[in-house]
Amino acid sequence: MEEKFLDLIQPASRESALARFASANETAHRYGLSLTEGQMLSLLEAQRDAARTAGRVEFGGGVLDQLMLAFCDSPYLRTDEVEQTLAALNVLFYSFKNDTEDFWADDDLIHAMRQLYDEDCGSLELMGDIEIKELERLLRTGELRSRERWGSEGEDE
Amino acid sequence: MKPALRTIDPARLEPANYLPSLLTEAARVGRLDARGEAAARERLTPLLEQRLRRFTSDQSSSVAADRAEQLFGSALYTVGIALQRDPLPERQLERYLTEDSLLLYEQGLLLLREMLDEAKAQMVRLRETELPLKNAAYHDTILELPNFFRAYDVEYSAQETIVAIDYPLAEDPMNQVGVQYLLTYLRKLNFENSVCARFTPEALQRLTECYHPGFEQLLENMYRLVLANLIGCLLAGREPRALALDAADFPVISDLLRKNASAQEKITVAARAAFSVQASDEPYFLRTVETAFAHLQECEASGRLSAALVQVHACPF
Repeated sequence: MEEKFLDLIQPASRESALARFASANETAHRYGLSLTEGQMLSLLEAQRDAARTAGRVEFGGGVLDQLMLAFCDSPYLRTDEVEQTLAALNVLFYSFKNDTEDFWADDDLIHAMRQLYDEDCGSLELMGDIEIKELERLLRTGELRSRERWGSEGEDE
Repeated sequence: MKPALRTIDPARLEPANYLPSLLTEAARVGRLDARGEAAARERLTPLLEQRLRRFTSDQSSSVAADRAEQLFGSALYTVGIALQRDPLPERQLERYLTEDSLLLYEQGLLLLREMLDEAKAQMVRLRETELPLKNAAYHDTILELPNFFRAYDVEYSAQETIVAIDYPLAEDPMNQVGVQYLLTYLRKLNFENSVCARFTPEALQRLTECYHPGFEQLLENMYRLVLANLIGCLLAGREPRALALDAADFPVISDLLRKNASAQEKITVAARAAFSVQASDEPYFLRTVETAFAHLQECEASGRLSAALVQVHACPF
């Protein structure tokens, strides 16, 4: 019954999302990173697909601008991989939102993802492998246990 | 020349899904064309976005689709409640198409809170007037009902009923949901109790024991049993308050059900007089008496009258 109504939300703020993304892109330019308008539009399109695939409803234009701002000064983000990295981070973001059952605010989750990203030297694969228990601990305390200890027996809090 | 518009059929509107069914019905009768229907749905966009932002405290730009569906279901239900305040579907549609959806939602929320308050008062009354019946479903349901108030979330899942109600009413409001369902259930159960309470506990106990020795474990409505035997007593010329019939009464009752076309009216009037039913509850009483009477007629016609009435005098228990 509500499916027709869910569709009302999807295309809502595409223009404002692009404007916000462009603004974040200008900031990132200071760090030598930038996207073309075509790349931004393509990422916004991919974001909608990622949200749908993750079973989520977007209503605020997404978080691409926030991801851009949060990650643009990371020493591990390569200038030639910004588009692919942002797309992958966006997918991980939705996955983490689902795994943590929407408990955490977008800003908190993005902040934790940035911590993880740097801890994992920019490896998105390692980021994606984090145990949810560990991610929640990071979100709760801001602390991250060293990678070697994850998953070891008897290491739970 | 444009074809004449047909009227919205209230019978096609679903209380549990009111607003979507109103729009669907408006489209069916030509009040909305395809574009008009889409535009009507789009009127909800600001409300739905507001509900999502409110739910996430503006801290999130997305929610899981199943959560969104729940929130939207709640918002649609609440707007539907606001619209139902107006008895005419045509007027409801006009209001929906001209008034701000956020304001309609606020009006609906206010009405839901009023319903919750009345339901709580009905719950207090129910506990005070609980019948001394030997029936587990009856008492378990009364014990369970307060859980509704603990779990009900009027802002984000107003359409949820979230309570296990086993005890059946003579006329269950199965097409309703949320607090609307609970309130209707409580009003009817309180009314049924008030009618049953006009009989002595001994008369009720004897009736249930003779109906079935295992009545305690049955999912059976007490009020329906009472009405059937009450009608039987009135037809047979027995003292109605005893609810007691014996085998000799059945041919008399059968004869009257078959021959007396105006018996239904007589019984309705007689029953009303006998119990001085509160005016506000009269429609429910009349409907249920008529249903019970019709059921007796059906049973008589198919030779099963003994299954519809309880023989108290011949009861072996």
